[in-house]
Amino acid sequence: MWWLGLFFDRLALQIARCGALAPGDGAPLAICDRLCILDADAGARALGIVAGMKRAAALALAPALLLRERDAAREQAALERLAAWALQFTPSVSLQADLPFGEHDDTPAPCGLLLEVAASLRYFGGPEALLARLRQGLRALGYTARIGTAPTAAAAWLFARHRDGLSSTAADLPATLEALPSRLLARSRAQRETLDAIGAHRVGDLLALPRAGLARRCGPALLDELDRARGQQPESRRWFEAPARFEAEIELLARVDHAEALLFAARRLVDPLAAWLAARHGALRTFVLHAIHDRRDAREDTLLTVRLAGPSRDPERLLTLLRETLAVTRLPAPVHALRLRCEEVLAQPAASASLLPAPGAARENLARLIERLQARLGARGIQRLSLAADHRPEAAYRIEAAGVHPGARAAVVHGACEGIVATSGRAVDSLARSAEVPVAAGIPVAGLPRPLWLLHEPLAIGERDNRPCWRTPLTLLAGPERIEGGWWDAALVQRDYFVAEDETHALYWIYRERLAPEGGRGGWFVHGRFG
Amino acid sequence: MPSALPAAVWRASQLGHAAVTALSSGFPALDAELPGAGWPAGMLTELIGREPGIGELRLLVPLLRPLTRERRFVVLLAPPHVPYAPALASHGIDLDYLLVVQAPNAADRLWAVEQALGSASFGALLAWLPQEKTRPEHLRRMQLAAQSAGGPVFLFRQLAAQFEASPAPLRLLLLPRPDERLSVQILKRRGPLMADPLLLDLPQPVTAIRLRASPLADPAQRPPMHASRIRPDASHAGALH
Repeated sequence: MWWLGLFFDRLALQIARCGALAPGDGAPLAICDRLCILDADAGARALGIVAGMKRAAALALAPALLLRERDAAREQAALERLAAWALQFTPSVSLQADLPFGEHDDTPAPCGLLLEVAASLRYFGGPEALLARLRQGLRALGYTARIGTAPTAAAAWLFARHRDGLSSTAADLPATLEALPSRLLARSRAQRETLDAIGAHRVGDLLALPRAGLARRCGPALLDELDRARGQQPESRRWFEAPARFEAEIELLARVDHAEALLFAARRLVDPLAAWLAARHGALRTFVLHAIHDRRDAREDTLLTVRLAGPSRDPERLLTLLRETLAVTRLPAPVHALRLRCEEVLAQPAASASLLPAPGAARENLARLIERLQARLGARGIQRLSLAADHRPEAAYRIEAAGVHPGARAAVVHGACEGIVATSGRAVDSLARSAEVPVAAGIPVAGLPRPLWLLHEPLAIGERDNRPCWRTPLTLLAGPERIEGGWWDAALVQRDYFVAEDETHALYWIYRERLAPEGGRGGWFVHGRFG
Repeated sequence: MPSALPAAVWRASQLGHAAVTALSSGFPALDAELPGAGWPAGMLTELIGREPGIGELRLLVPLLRPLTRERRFVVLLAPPHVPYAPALASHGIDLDYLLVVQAPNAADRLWAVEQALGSASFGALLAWLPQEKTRPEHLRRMQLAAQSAGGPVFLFRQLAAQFEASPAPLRLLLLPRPDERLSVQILKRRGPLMADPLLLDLPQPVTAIRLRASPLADPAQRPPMHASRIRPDASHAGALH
C-alpha cells in the first residue's frame, strides 16, 4: 500500500482564483464568511489583510480587495472534479473530510483526497515522477496541494496536513508519526484544548499515556484514528466514482464585455471536463458553455455551443474550437459567471498508440480542420462538392456544408456526370439514360467535356453576324449537345450546348435556348468556362 | 543548357538550405523548367492569368488527381465561379477530398489559409484573392504560412499583378493558346530567367472529344469560322509588355 494524501489548504481561495481572466491576474483576493476574513492571498496579505480580521476592517484597509464568501457546496463540487481528475493516476481515489481551516466553525468540510497508488508507481516511473506529474497537473488546473506519502491512508493524511512533502516508509512510520504535533488528531476545538491542557504536544506523548484514560478524555475516535495511522487497525474507505454528469460553474473575478476574454477562464472548465470524460471513458460531440449575465441585466444566459466533427475528449481540441466560437460571439451584456454542463457522453475507449500511421488518420485530420474552420466561418463557410443524378448542368452537382466525414456518403454515385449526347438533333430519352446505373465517380463519360467552372447564373450574350458574341465573336468548336430535362419540376431546360472559343483562345461552354421559356429570353448564354 | 542546371546553380548560392521538395506537375516540359522539377511544396506559387477560365485549373489537374487519390485534401479558397463537380470527377479528382472555403473578409481568409496549411494531411491550396484588396503584407503572411505546409500553395492573380513585386518565389504567366494549349511563361523562379514560354497540352477527360472547329459545329453557322482565329496574339501583346 502506498498512499498519497492531498490536502488542499487554500481550496476556497484557489476556487475563487479560477475566475481570473488572465494568467497572473494578481488582484488581491480574500475569502470571508459573513463577518470575518478566513483566508487571504499573497496580494491581500501584502496590503495587511490577515485571517480573522473583520470584513469591514479589511475593506477599509484595501478598498480594491475582492471578497468571496466561502461556499461549502462549491468546495465539494471542486473537490469532486479534482477527484475525477485524479482518477487518471489510480482507480482508488477517496474524498477526505476534515476540519476547515477557519477557527470559528466546527463543521467538517471536505478538503482533501487520498490516493492509493502502489499499483500505478511502475507505470508512472516511480514515486518521484508520479508526484511531479501530480503537482504539475494540479498547477495547470489552478490548484496546489500539500502532499504526504505513507503506507497507511490515515498517516498520509496527517502528514499532508502537517507539512508538504512529508513522507515515510513502513520502517520509519512509527518514528515519523511520534514526532507529529498531536493537535492534528483533534476533531474539535475542545479536543485540541484538552490535548494542550494535558501537555501531550506530540503524538509520541499521547502514545505514552494509558489508553483507557485517553479514551475517556478524548473519545475513542481519536485513538482509532491513531491506530489506523499506525497500521494497527484496518481501514475501509469509500472509493470515489466519477459522477454520471458534469456540471461546473465559475464566478469571474471581473465582469467581461468581450467574448474572447472568457477563454482563459473557460480553460478552467474545459480541463476538468476532459479529465471527467477520460475517467468515464467517454467523449463528447457537442457541449454548451453558458455565459451567465448579471442579475441586474435580467437576461437569459448566452449559450455558446461548440460542435465537433467527431467525438473527442482532447482538451486542446475542445479549447481550439471554443476559441473560434468565442471569436465570433458578441455578448449582449457583461458576463459574470460561466457554467459548463455535459450530460450526453459517447463511449470512447482509449485509442491504442500505433507505430505506423493509421489509415484513418488523414480523415481524422480533415474532420478536425473542417470543424475548426466551421467554428469561425460558420457552417456555410466550408463546402463540399458532390455529384447529383441530373442532366441539367445546374442540377448535376450539389454544394453542401461540409459536416460529414469524408467518405461518409455512399461510395456509389449515380451517373450524374453523364450527359445526353444528341449531336444530330436526335432526341434521347432522358429517363432511359438516367436509369439507376451505378457509375463510380471519376469514370469517364461520353459526350462533350464539361467545364471546370460553372457560372453561378447563365450569362446572356449577344449575337453578331449570326454568331454568338461576348467581348469578341465566339467560334463554335464542338456541339451541339442537346440537354433536355426538368419537366418534372419547375425548371424545364431545353438547350443546345456548344464549346466555343473567343479570340483570345479562352474556351466557353455556351448554350442556345431551343425554345424560349415563357417570360424568359431566348438566344445565347455563357454557362461555363473551361478553367 | 542541361535541364538540371537551374536548380544546381541556385543550390550553390543557398548554402545550408535543404533542396526544395516538389510534386511533379505532370508536364515533363514544365517539370524541366521548375526548380525541384515540379510544383514546390511549402512555397507560394503565383499563377497569373487574364481571368478565370483560361485553362488554369486544367494545368493543375495532373497534380490534384494523384493528391486526392492519396487522401490528401485540396482546399479551394474563394473560387470565383462554381467548381463544377461533374467536370472535376471526369478528370479523376476525388471530390471527397476537395474543400471549398468561402470567407468574406481578408482576415478570415488568411486565417483559413493558415489553418489549412498547418494540417497534417494537407495536399494543396488554390486561392483566389481579390485583386484590389490584396496587399503585399497579405502575400508575405501567406508565404510565411506556406513554409510550414507539406504541399504547394497556388495563388491565382490577374494580369496587373505581374508588374508588382511579390514574395512568391515562383510566378508563372498563363495565356490560352489555340487547340487547348496553354502558354506558360515563368516570370520568377529560383534560377535563371527563362526566355521562351512553354506550350503545354492541357489534359482532357479520357473519352472527351478532341475539340476543333468544324463545319459540322452548327449548321446555322454560315460564315467561315477560321477567319477570326488567324490573329491569335493581337490581344496579348499589350498585356505582356
